[in-house]
Amino acid sequence: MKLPVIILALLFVTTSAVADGVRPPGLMPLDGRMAPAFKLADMDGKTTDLVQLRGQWVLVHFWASWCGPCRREMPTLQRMREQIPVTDMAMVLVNTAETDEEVFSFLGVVAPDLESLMDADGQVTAKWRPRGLPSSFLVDPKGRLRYIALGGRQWDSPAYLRFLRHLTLEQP
Amino acid sequence: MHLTNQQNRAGRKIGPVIIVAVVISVLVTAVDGVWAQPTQGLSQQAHGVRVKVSSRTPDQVLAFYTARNLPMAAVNRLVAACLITVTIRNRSQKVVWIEPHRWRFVLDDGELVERLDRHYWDDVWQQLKVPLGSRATFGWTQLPESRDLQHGEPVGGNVVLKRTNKTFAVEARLATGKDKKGAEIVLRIPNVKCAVDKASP
Repeated sequence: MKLPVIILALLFVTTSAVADGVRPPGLMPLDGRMAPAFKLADMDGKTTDLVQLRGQWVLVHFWASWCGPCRREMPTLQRMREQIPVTDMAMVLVNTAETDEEVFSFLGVVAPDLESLMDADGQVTAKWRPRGLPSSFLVDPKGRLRYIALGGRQWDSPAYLRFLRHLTLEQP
Repeated sequence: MHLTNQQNRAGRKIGPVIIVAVVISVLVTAVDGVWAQPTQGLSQQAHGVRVKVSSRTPDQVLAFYTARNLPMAAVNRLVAACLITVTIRNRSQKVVWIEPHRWRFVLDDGELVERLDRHYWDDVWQQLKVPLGSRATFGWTQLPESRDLQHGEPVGGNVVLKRTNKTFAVEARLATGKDKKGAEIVLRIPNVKCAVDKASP
């Protein structure tokens, strides 16, 4: 009687471990080249330097208020942020070539708890060569580009949350 | 679906009203004379890839780019051109390549409609001293110049052509495979027109 229980328990543990690491649909692996460096300020003038975030996973998200999928995706990023602590994974939003007014009024309505860096002339976005807007990259603790999300994704879905939690368990 | 008697009665009352409304709407449209070439939505699908093209009216172009803070001089240049919004979805298992420089826009007599590509617009923006941010925004509204499209992935963007009042076909040529060595997919969408605004009364 004990053996089947042990086998079942082992099976469960193994399955869960594998499932946790399963890459959700829409997330494509990248070749691990170094993420282009940037130092950008938010609307309050507070600067974020990507290099300073080494040592943890970073979700870098490029967006613009005029893009439809961005509007749908942004609240899911906010909800994901509520579930994965900043200490486990940093999230950096980069607005592409819009004004403070546009960003302020958009985020105020769509995702009031989020803040965005401002890529006023769009040059940082261009350097990252996203596949379109919105685009999200997952940068590993060593600063390498590891995944890109294809189009807008539901970041607070169980599959994505599981995967992100699994990533944060990886050793730097 | 079951309707209550009350809903049935309401339906019987509303039915003729809807018919009259539709007839009036059709008549108004017909009387309107130059009924605008409406925004078109034409599509073709083959080998799991669907391409849809919609022609944008000058008013739509004006609204679209002024809302994105492009300077008026830049918007006016775009309004004078012919904007086609293209959306592509790859439901095939292969990687498909979006390379609009390989596409052809063919008039019925076989002549080609010129595509005004990013280099063309870079020069125009340079002349007009359009700020970098606006150039970037414009760039993100365009169909990518060269990009792979993964299984299940959609992509959308504008293609700008020299305005013509003739009908033309869009020939989308899509390389396939990671190394572009797979069989090419060619989708031909005929009867595309540069949309025009509804004539003012």
